[in-house]
Formats: sequence, structure tokens, C-alpha cells
Amino acid sequence: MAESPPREPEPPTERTERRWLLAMCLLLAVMMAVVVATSLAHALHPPSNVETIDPLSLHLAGEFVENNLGAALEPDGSVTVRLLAQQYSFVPNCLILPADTSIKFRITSPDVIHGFLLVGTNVNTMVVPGFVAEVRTRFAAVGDYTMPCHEYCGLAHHDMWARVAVVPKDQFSQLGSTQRRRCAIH
Amino acid sequence: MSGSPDDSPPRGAIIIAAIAVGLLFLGWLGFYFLLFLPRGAIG
Repeated sequence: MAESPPREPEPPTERTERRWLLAMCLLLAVMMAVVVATSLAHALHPPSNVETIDPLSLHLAGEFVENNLGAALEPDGSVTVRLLAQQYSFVPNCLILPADTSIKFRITSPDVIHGFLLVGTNVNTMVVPGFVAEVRTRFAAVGDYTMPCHEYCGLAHHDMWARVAVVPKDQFSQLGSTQRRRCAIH
Repeated sequence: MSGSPDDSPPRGAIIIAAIAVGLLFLGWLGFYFLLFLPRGAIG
């Protein structure tokens, strides 16, 4: 029986590459563990509201008729904001909201897919016709926030943005319901 | 006994790569803990 030829020693570069690969796998495992651990600890999850609406008739009846859009103060002190995203504007295109208050945005689209983003906050979702997107936030500081559409929706997409003026809680409570629906004080 | 100089691992390349990856990892940790998490959960 013939003897098998002696194995050649492994080149140092291959050993180094294998160790490097192992180190990178460990690094990826650490990053994944950090993401999973913090996601569970902070209960992070994407917006999960599933609610359908007829995009053809939402302007005729229901909560998205024109005089019901904007910010509304709820009995528990929180604020609900109802918005329409349409080519190429948000309705209303300016909001006054209180700082340090639980705020719920409900937004839908009668035409195409839009994006809903409040720069510097956790508000970031898509607005799909036929569905009501719902996101919650709390503004820690007063000031102006921009609200651009960040999902390409047509030729004038770049012109589609709105403004949110966050005012102190006391100032907001003194505003009438009509004033809360537009930026008349600015 | 150590081999010939040609057999030794490329230590300089390893050090440079480790520093580069380490800096990237620190940047990722910074973005994640100082920007992403303080922003709050979406939803």
C-alpha cells in the first residue's frame, strides 16, 4: 500500500486570514447581540398599525374630512393629529403642537405613496393609500420642525413639505380649536 | 523556530486593518447609542 504524500505546512497567510475571518465573525456577532438586546430592552419595533380606509371617499365622510384635520386635544390631555398626504402637500401644511405631550399622528393618502418624516424625532413612516399610518411621539423641546415627504411621489415631490411649530404646553392649551389647526400665531 | 521572513504574517497590514475596523466599530457604537437609541422607538 502506497504511503500518502506528507501534507504541506499551512502558509502563514492562510492562518492569518482564517483568524481575521473569525475576528470579523465575532465582531458581527457582537453587533447583532447589541441590536437584539437593545431592541428587546427598549421594545423597538416598526409601526405596526394596520387600518384600512377607502382613499376615494375619505374626503367625504369620516375622520379625514377637511374640518377634522389638524391637532385635536383629547380628554386625557394627549393630542391626536390627523393629516392627509397628497400630491404635493400635507393638509394642513402647518401645525401647532405642545411640547412634552403625548402626540399621536394619524395620516393617510388619497392618491399615491408618500413618506412622513419629522426631522430630529422618531416619526418616520410611509403613507400608503388605503391605509391609515399611525405613529406616536413626544416633543422634548419647543421650536420649529420640518416635515418633508421622503418617498418620491411625483414631479413636484421636492416641494412637498410641511412645518410643525412646537410651543409650550400652556400656550397650546390657550389656543382655540381652530387656531390649533393652523399656524396663525406665527 | 521562526520561519524565513517571507513566511511571517503581514503584521503591518494586520495592525492597519485592525485600527481601521476598530475605528469603524467605535463609530457604529457612537451612532447607535448616541443618535439612534435616544431618538426613541418608531411606532
